[in-house]
This record gives sequence, structure tokens and C-alpha cells, in this order.
Amino acid sequence: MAMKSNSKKLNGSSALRRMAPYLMLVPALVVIFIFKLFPMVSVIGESFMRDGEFTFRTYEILFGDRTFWQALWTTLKMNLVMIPLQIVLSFILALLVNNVIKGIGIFRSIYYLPVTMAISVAAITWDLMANYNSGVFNSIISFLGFEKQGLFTDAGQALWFIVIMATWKGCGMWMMYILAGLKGVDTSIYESAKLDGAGYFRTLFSITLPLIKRTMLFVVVANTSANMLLFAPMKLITEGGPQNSTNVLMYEIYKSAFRNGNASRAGAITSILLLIVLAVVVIQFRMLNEKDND
Amino acid sequence: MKLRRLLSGLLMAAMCMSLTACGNEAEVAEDTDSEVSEESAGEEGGGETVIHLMMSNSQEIGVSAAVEAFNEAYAGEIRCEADYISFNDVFETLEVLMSNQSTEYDIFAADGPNVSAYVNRGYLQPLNEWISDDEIAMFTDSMITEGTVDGQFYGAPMGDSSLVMYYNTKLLEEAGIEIDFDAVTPDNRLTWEELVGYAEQALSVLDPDGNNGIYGIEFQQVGRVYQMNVLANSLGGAQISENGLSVDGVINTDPWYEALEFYQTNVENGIFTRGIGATDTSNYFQSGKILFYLGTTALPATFEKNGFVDYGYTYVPCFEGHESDVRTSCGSWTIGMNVYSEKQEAAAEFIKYLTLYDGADVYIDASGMVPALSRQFTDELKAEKPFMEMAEYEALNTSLVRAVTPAYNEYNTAMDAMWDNVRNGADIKESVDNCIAELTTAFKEYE
Repeated sequence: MAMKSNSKKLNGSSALRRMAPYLMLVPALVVIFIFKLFPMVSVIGESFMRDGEFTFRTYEILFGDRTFWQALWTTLKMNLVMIPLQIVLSFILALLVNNVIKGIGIFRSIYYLPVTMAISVAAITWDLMANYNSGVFNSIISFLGFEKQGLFTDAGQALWFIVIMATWKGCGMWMMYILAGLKGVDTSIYESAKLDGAGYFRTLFSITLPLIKRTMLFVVVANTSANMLLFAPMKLITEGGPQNSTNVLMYEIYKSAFRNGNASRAGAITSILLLIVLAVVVIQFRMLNEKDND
Repeated sequence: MKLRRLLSGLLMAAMCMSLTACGNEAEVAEDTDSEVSEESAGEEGGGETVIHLMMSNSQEIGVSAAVEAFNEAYAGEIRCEADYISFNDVFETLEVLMSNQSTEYDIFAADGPNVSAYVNRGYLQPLNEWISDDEIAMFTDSMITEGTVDGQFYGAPMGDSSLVMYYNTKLLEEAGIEIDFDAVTPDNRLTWEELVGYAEQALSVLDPDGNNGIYGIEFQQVGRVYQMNVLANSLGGAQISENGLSVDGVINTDPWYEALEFYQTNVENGIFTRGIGATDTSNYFQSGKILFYLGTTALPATFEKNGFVDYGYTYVPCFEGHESDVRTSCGSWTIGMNVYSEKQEAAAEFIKYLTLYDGADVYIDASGMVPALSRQFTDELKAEKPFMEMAEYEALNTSLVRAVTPAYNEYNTAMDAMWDNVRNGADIKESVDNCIAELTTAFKEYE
């Protein structure tokens, strides 16, 4: 009898133990469902609704809309330049601040400093600095004897100036992640490589990069998601202009939803952007995992 | 050991503070509950009903005076609490709230041209239940048109608007320029070309190297169709097609190209400003950085508040050879009732007070806006505010209503961008074509 009761107790506690991880995950899953999955499904659903009826009309209008295609191209063009640029720069910065020399902490702090600034504050500050009449950039340009530049107000320069601003703002953070990865590499491996006669670049490409691949995967995926959804500079500085040159999909979504009250169009563009980010991230995962399998 | 004690002390302090915070929260919650019950009780009969108003901060001077007067007149019955949202955010805030069927505000500011769009989206409650036809007839005709959609009256106008050309007397004096403003009449206006000439002359004296940041001419609402379109309209250009759903064949016409060319050339020549936003131009004018300044009649109230006195005003200029085509802006904020409001009776009482009766007088007196009620154009008003005579003339003879379209937000956004692009040196034809393409797609949603 006593044995039966003990075994029951054991069964009960082992069931509880098995359930424990799932129970602990419940709060996180609930939050993810409410704040991530539900809005996603809701937005996708919204894109097929017009006047309370299910329809493909929104997508029909959207695919015939020149502004949408321009915004899509601007988003892709910007990210094709910005993502590699940020990752390469962050990697170089991480390598630099990984050196053990006196006062390196000061440099790490300086490079990280822009991250601590709110994106809205950074955008407004850069807008002031780039002002055509009184901005510091144009003062320097004029002082050097060149013609004043439109910067955020020039259709040919605005997007690339946003790329520069976002890179300045973002690189410090990605640098820190990569630095953490670099710190995790056993220094004895570098010593062995040195003894075997490997040069700096050979060590970098054959040892360092493969060993921090997991960190790099995270950085690449997180950077892609963050940059594809970049919005604040377009909202606060350029309002999608000049000549729609900075009108990315995120800004088009904002305009549709909050200025024009067109939830259906905003939902449709959001769904498309979601698919694009998903596709890019899946490709990135596959490429990095393939190398892992090799 | 000391560190551990210090940490324990900090933890205790943090705990006490969080408990205090909880206590305050509870008090706040209680307060909120009592306010809610008081508000509900008020509408059902009993206590004071609290209604909430959302207004653009551009109207704060006039509306806050009227709200204060209302709260005094209705003390113990209805109390209005107003939030003044920045002009740049007011439209978006409204979209966010109303698309979520919010009851946060019982009454909100609806810019005249947007009334039709808000009705289309189901945000506004018709006011005919509370405002009789006789009362509606008290408004000027153009204001009734702006507030009416499909025969129902939705937007009660607080005031109308009109433009005058302000000039900085001190700058003109310093530049040694004398203009006989007394000779300027509706039939003998200054021309834009003359103004550019005076500006060039003044800048050659006041800012020959361009280092003092002084400009010749500027629009108060630079980059916004409300005022920028005046240039094209004064050359014979229309706002939009007759059915309100096309700009093709409207803005790609000679008057528009000529107006855009005039504007761009003079921005490039430093006559008009570049890189200054609409919210900042007034400060530039008041600080003596702009010579001629096209603005609304509401500005003197701001000038007075800020102690700025070095200004005069005259009629809106015309273009040479287009003396009889001159057009001026009109229309203003209306006030509408949230269709989801649970305090519609009290809200209607406030709307009537602010737009038809005592509140309307307080508003016009404090704001300097042009009256929307025929009875308010009195000799007394014109004697007190001489610019009202000009405003009255323009309102009756040269005013052109803004584009009448259910897609006014889209129109506004695309056209503002076009003016901005031209200001920033973009190719004019390309800017116009982009604007047409964007709006053609946007209008499809309403066809």
C-alpha cells in the first residue's frame, strides 16, 4: 500500500517535472501570441477586407501602384548597401577594440555611444546638422570651398545620407555582439596558428570567422530585420522625400495607416514586407548552416 | 560588510518606494473611478458632465479662451477639458483614435477639407439633431458648404481664414525702401514680381554676403497646399478636377508650371527660404529675418502675445498680367462630434456655444480668425482689427476653397511633397508627374 502511494507520488512528480519547462514557457508564449502572432494574423486578415467583405482588390490596386513598386525598390536598394556595410564596419570595429592595449575601454565606449541615443533624438540632431542654411555639415563643406549640398533635401543624396546616419547609429551595437563572440575564441588557437606560420588575414578568414559563425548569424539576421524595418529617419527627417527617394515600405505603411486611414492597404504592404524579411532571413540561415554542415 | 549593508539599505529603500508607488497608483485608480462615475452620472442627470475636446495647437489661443468661458457659463453642469495636439500630429492622432472607435474625445477638430473624408470613414456624427436649419443658416455660405456632406451638417466652423501680406517695417526702413502701402487696394495690388524686386533690393543692403540669414519673402505655411497653391491659383490654375478625383490635366498645365518655376527660381536666388519648416517661419518673421510674409489673419494675436510690433500688412499680391485672377486661401477648422461619444447631448451644447453663440465671439476676439458667422462682420470688429476689412474683401471676392475630395489627406500629402521637392531643387516636370502618379492610384480607392 505504502509502495503504491510512493509510486503514485513519484509518477506525479515526474509528470510535473516533465511539464515544468512547458509551464515556464507559457508566460513567454502568451506574450508572443498576443503581441507578435495575433497582430500578424490580424494584419494579414485586414489586408483582404474592404468595407467588411473579403476581397483581393487591395492587392490588385497595390500591384498596379507605381509608388508601391518604387518603395519596394528603395527598401531593397537601401538594404543591399546598408546591411553588408554595417556588418563589415562592425566587424572591423570589433577587431580593433578586441586588441588588448591601455585605454581600449575608452574607444569601445566612444564607438558604442551612438547606440545609447534614441533614434528619434539622433534623427533630429542629424537633421539639424544637415540643414542647408545653418547645418554644421554645410558649414564645413562651404569652408572647404565646395558648394552647399542638399543632403537630406537632395533626391540623389537623401537615401545614402540616411544609410550613413543609420550606420553611425547602429554599428556600435553590432560591434559589441561581435566583440563578445571574439572574446569567446580560445587564444591558444591563435598561438598555434601563429606557430604554424599563418598570417593575419589567413587567421582572420580561416580561424576567427568560422569560430564566431554563430554570433555572425545572429548579427546578420538581427541587422537585416532592424534595417528592413527602419522608419524613424524617414518619418522625422525626409517624410519619404525628396521625390519619394526615401519612401521605403515602412513609411508607405505608416502613410497608408495613419495619414490616409487605409488599414487595408497598410495591411497588404505589411504582409508583403513580412514575407520579404522572412525570405531573406531563411536564406541567411540556410547559407550559414550549409557552411556549418560542410 | 559595509557594501552588503549599503546594498540592504538600498533594497529596503527601493521596496519602500515601490510600495509608496503602489499606494499612489491605488489612489489614482480611485480618483479615476470617481471621475468616471461622476462623468457618467452627469450625462444621465445629476453631477457635472465632463466632455473631452481634441484640438490642434494652432487654435489654442482662441479655443482655450472659449473653453474657459464655456466652463464658467456651464459651471456645475458641463465641463470641457481640452487637449491641444501639435498641428503636425493632430491628423494622425485622430486617425489612430477613430479607426479604433475610441471614445477618448467627445469632440474633435476636423480641418474643413477633411470633413468629407471623416464622414466617409464613419468618424463624425451628423449635427442636425441639435443644430437647426435656422442656426446652420447663421454661418457664411462657404462655411456651410465645407461642413456639409450629402445634405447632413457634420462640421461646425469655428471661424474662417484669410490671408494678408505682412511686411517687416524695421527691415524696410533699414534697407531704405519706401513703398506706398496706402495706395495698395484690391484693384491696385502689389505684384509678386515687384515684391521679388523689393526683396532683392533689401537683401543687397541687409545681407549682401548672405551671412545674416535674411530672406525676402516667405509663406507662413511653407510647403503646405493651403497657402502654396495660391501661387498657381493666382495664375488661373485649379485645385483639382471637378469630380474631385483627378489632378491629371490640372496640375500639369501652364499656370502650375509657371507658378512652380517662379517659386523654384526664387528659392534658388535666396528670396524664399530653404530648409525652414512651416512651424518655424513665424519665429523667423518675428525675429526680423523675413521681409515679406504671407500669413493668416490669426497672426497678429501671436505677434501681440510675443510683443512683436514691427509689422504692417497689405493685400495678397497678384502676378503681372493676371491682376484679376488673384486667389486667396480660405476655410478653417470645424468642430465635429465623435460618432462613438457617450455624451452627445453635452458635446452638442459645447459645439453650439463655441460656433454659434457666446463662445464664437470669444473665439473670434481672441484668435483673430475671420468670422464664420455672418453676424460677426461688424464695424466694431473691423475698427478693432483693421485687417478684417481686407479679410472680408478676400473672403467675399478672391477666396478659393481647398480641393473638395474624399481623398483630401492623400491629396494634401502628395501635393505638399511636390511643393517641397520643387523647393529643394527637384526637376519640376518630374515632381509633377510623380505627384499625378501617386494621386491617380490613391484616388482609385474612392472611385
